[in-house]
Amino acid sequence: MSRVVVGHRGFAWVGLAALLCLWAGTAHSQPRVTPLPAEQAASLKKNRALVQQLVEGAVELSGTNDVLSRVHVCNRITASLAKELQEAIQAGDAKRVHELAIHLSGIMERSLAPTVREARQAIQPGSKDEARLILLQNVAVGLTDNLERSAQAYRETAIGNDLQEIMRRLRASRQHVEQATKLAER
Amino acid sequence: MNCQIVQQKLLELEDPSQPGKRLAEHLRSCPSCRTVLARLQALEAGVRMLPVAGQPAKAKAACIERFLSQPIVSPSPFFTSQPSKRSLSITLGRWRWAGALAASLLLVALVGWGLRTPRPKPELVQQTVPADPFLASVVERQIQLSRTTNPSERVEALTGLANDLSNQVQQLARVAPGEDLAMLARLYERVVRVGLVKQAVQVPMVQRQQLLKPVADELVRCATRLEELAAEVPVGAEEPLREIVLTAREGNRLIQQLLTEEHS
Repeated sequence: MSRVVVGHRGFAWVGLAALLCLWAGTAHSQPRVTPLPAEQAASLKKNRALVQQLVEGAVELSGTNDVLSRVHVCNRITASLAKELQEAIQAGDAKRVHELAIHLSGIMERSLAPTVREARQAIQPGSKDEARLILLQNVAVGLTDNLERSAQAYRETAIGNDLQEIMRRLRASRQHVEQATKLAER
Repeated sequence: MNCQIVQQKLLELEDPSQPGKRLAEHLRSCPSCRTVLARLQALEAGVRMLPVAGQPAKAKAACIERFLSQPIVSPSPFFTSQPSKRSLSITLGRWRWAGALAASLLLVALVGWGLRTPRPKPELVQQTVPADPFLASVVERQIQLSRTTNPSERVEALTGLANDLSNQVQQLARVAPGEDLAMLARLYERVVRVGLVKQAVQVPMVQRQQLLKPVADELVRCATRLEELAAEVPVGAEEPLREIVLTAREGNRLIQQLLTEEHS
């Protein structure tokens, strides 16, 4: 009887230890969905200028139906993101490079390209506005060229492999913007 | 009290959510100690979520009884010149358990290792959880607003953006520096006064009740929430919160006017 009781006690301890080990082994592999307030505060400090640009841009976009002004706002935001991304590449901050590359790609494909397409359809061919639009589009394309050069310069660093993948994605995003102009040319 | 002493005292707290009057005084003016406190509170919350095996009451009573019935000091079998058959069996039994425990730990560690998610590859699509959810959300609002010229859709997107900003202030009120909160309060004002209210005016009469009533209600909720919070936050965080309260109230007043216009 006593042996049985001792046996149960032993099993309970082994089970408890096993549960704790399993928890410890897997706890760090699960990504936390929400960062801690202190982490969020640190992110805000880092992204302050970007957040300001994005919110101001969003307010401006809500207040204008002028197609060229809308492209201009999207272009400005693209430039801000590209600048921050370039700084993150130079700092070798892989996590931030990934985060900003996702946002830059999203803005180029889902905000800048549709706005350029909309403007291209509304603007008269041969007009001054058309020249302005092409200029704006070239600026956006030029930004990715700058990033490409940075990625080349940092090819041999720890984030070199990640950069290749990121640039592949950004080249695809740039094509969206270029196509937005070409489609409307037809 | 300097930060080192305060942080030592914070570590000694039984409940980090109640730092006491003297510590609270220091915390109000020290962002770095507030950060330490926030981390301790998060740890405390995490500990509560640790899995603990349930034990029936009877088992606990039996365990206590067994413990009390055992001799307080038992000589180590290694120093017993002639171990009895019984003590040898107990020794072997203990070693068996130690062996079983070690084997189980090894097995569980291997299973745990196998369950670990592999390190994410650098492909962009695999990073689903954003490092800064607030930034990700603001990016999405910007994209939304770049794709519409419809006033009703703009009102919806701007309301979402205003909520993102007020929620961010609410979450960071105890840990972020006053200047960052002030920046968020200014942006909130821009979104509500320059964006939301101006677009609300453009919403067709027939849609106003359905679209603008929830917006007005949300502004009132935001004002109430942040007004309550303003009474609890450290010095420096209070002012930006009150600015948001004023903006939300003013926004609500202007939207209520639009709703009244519709009725008249």
